[in-house]
Amino acid sequence: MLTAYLHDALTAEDKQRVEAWLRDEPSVRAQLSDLRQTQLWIKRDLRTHLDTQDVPSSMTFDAIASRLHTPRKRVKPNLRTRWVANFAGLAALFFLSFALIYSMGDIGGTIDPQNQPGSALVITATPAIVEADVDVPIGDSPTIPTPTPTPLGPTPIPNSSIPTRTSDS
Amino acid sequence: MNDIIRLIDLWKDGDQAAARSLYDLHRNRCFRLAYGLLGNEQDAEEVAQDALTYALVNIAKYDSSRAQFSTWLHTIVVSRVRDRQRRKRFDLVSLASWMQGGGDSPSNAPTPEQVSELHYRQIAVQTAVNNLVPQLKEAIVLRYWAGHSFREMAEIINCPIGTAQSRVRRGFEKLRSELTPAQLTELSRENA
Repeated sequence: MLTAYLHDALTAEDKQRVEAWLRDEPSVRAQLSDLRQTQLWIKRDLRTHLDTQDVPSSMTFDAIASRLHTPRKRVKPNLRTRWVANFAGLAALFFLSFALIYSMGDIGGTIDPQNQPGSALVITATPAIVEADVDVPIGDSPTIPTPTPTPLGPTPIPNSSIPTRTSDS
Repeated sequence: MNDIIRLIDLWKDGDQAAARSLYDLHRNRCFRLAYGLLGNEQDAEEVAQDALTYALVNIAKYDSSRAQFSTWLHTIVVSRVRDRQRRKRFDLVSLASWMQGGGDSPSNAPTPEQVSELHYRQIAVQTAVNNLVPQLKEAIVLRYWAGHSFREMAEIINCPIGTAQSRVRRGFEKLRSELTPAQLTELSRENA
């Protein structure tokens, strides 16, 4: 209990009890005084022993300098910089998407303007330029066959194939 | 304290001179703490160098709002000492060291010549501290030699404050029981 008191390791309640005990009992006071002395001597001797230890001469900064590298400083951009960067990224994506749509329109097909709601969707491919591998005499123009537009999508059903009801009987 | 913080900031910006200053300021304490816990100069040097290198390389991990730089550094030293003790437990005794008379006895055991020079009392306290189990030795060295508060000790040895207090108290009781009445009388005579 006294050792714990000496090392501040008592609860407030126990501490009060020990203090009352110390007031009433001179022998306990003497005991505590002895403990204090021993603690002081141990502290002093330990300090004398360790503080007089010579640090080896090989223990220098130069010995570890090669293992050190300049610490990397983590630079965190501020909020405004991050907003600007995000906005620029979004704008770039927006224009890129338009550029993609435009370029697809240039290469790809056209939608038949006569396509009416309810009718089959017909997409016609734009005729591609075909370079014929033929000997063409100078002055003549090569005959390039014009491809027939092929309707895409479901084959239209001719009206004649639809059975008609003739009579109720 | 502010000087240390300034040096840390300078080193974070890559100033090698600041790193050197930090090293020089803490070199002795780190070595002596390691020596107090290991009782071996060579091991203490390796541990202290390793701890200082780690601290300087990982300076970004140090949070000045949580602990003093020396407390953080001592945490690293204690951790390295524990690693070393764990490894030593599995190390085989070198035959060569036996042949040279080294054996596996603590290297700081004083020779007869040293005994005549060293004080009888000091040897008694040293021996008693060296005979403590590692946990109690850590507590005694950190409290009695390094002068850390119980709160700092709890941080360094990674335990609740109550455990730190209890370890110091048990360490002290053990030391007191190791010192013979004759040694205690000698202590009191010298102190008088």
